[in-house]
Amino acid sequence: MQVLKILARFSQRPLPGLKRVRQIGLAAAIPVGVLAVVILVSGSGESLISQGPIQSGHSDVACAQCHLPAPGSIRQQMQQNVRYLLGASPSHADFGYQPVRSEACLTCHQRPNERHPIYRFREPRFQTAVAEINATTCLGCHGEHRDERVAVEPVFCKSCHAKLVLKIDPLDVPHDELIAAKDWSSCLGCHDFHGNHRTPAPIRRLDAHELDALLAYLKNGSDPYGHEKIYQAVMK
Amino acid sequence: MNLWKPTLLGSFVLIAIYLFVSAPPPLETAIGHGISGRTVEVKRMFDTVDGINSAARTLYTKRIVGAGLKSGMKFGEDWAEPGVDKGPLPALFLRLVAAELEARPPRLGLYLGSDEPINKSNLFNGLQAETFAAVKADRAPHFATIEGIGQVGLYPDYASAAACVSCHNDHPDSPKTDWKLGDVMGATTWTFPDSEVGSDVYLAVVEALYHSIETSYQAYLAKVSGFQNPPLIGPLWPEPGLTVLPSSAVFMAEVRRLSAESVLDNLVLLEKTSQ
Repeated sequence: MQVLKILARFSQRPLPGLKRVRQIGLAAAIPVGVLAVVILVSGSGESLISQGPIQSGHSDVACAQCHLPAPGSIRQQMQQNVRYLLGASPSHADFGYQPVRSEACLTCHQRPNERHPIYRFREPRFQTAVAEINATTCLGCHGEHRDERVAVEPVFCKSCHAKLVLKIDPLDVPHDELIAAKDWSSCLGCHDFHGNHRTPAPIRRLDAHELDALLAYLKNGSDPYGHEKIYQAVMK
Repeated sequence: MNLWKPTLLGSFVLIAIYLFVSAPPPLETAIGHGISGRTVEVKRMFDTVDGINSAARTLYTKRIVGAGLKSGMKFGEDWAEPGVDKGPLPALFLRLVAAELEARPPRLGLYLGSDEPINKSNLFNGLQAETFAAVKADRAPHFATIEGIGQVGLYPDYASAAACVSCHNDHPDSPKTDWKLGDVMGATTWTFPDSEVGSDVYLAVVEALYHSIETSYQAYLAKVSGFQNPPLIGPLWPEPGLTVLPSSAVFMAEVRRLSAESVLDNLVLLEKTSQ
């Protein structure tokens, strides 16, 4: 009842002038702006500006580990980009932050036992395969800020291994049968793509991981290959 | 008095000063894209890096692997697995170098391949296979331009040591078992986006390759230090009667010495080009 009385009394007052509205807006904007800057600078607002949830393995990685500042000052970057727009420079400059590149991933994830290092796919003979699956960059498969580990369907092995022939095949269902049947989703059932899990590949088709378990893993679920890794990622 | 127009004009002037007056020095163009000062044909740069790569490969093959095998050390495809007291085979050592190069601009690509590889993933196809046929025919480097890749150079890889021949002939997955010393067993492929490079990029590429070789050798030494019976590592190398490996500094000094001629030749040619 008291609230209604106040509203009724307020509604009888004349509307404030434009100048008064501006003053109120400015007075409100200053503390809001200061608060926003404090939150962002202190790091506690990182989740607010994030484009989406980060994958579970990166939950303790700070934004600045991957999002590196672009070279130069803001003014230099603006000048470079203006020169580029006017045709006075051959290339533009990153503004504020660099795009996240594979080099940032490799800072922590480069290992001597990597089974599919991205640099190899830049070789000319992989051009056809790369047109199907962009394995020349980590982000070609790994989406980030999408609450998932891998953003592509688990049938990409076909792009390179369609003509696989083994002299000695240890599997009870031979590889050539799986390939002839185009059962490409079965590959990851035994083989961890990056080859960093300690568990050896099974030699019986029945012991392979189920497709549902693999799909759940690629979407951020538990790891069917086990948690024992040969090399741990080293945060630098 | 209407202040709108002078305020707008003043704002434009201030923005123009901010954007065009070079009080701060201009931002350097990203390395690998800009060409400043002298330029050199990428073929010449490929000659240089292949000379360095050959030096590192020869040194590692003959004096680390060859000498190591005689004194009981082991090398194998599974060298990177924990608990395996082995070092990388020569081709795998160069794989390490290639992976290290990946993380270092400018974007020089280094790849190994063959028409008769042990590992099928190293089989040439397409234009690379055609270029390799030419390399094999005249045992000389050949070059190509490939859309989306840029400049490509293929350099012959010879069977330069008995270990190359015996290992490839005896391997169960080898498609060819009659290799002989001196055969062209495959090719090293080099790639670079541009057909000409500035001298600063040229030198940066050379240093990036040296650094990648050094880091790869250090990875081997790190592995060796965890062996059950680790060999001595130090500046005294070779040491008759002892299983000893050169320190990283000694290994790199030897790589630089062996490749100096190639690097210097191309630098001199670079100098001549500019005159």
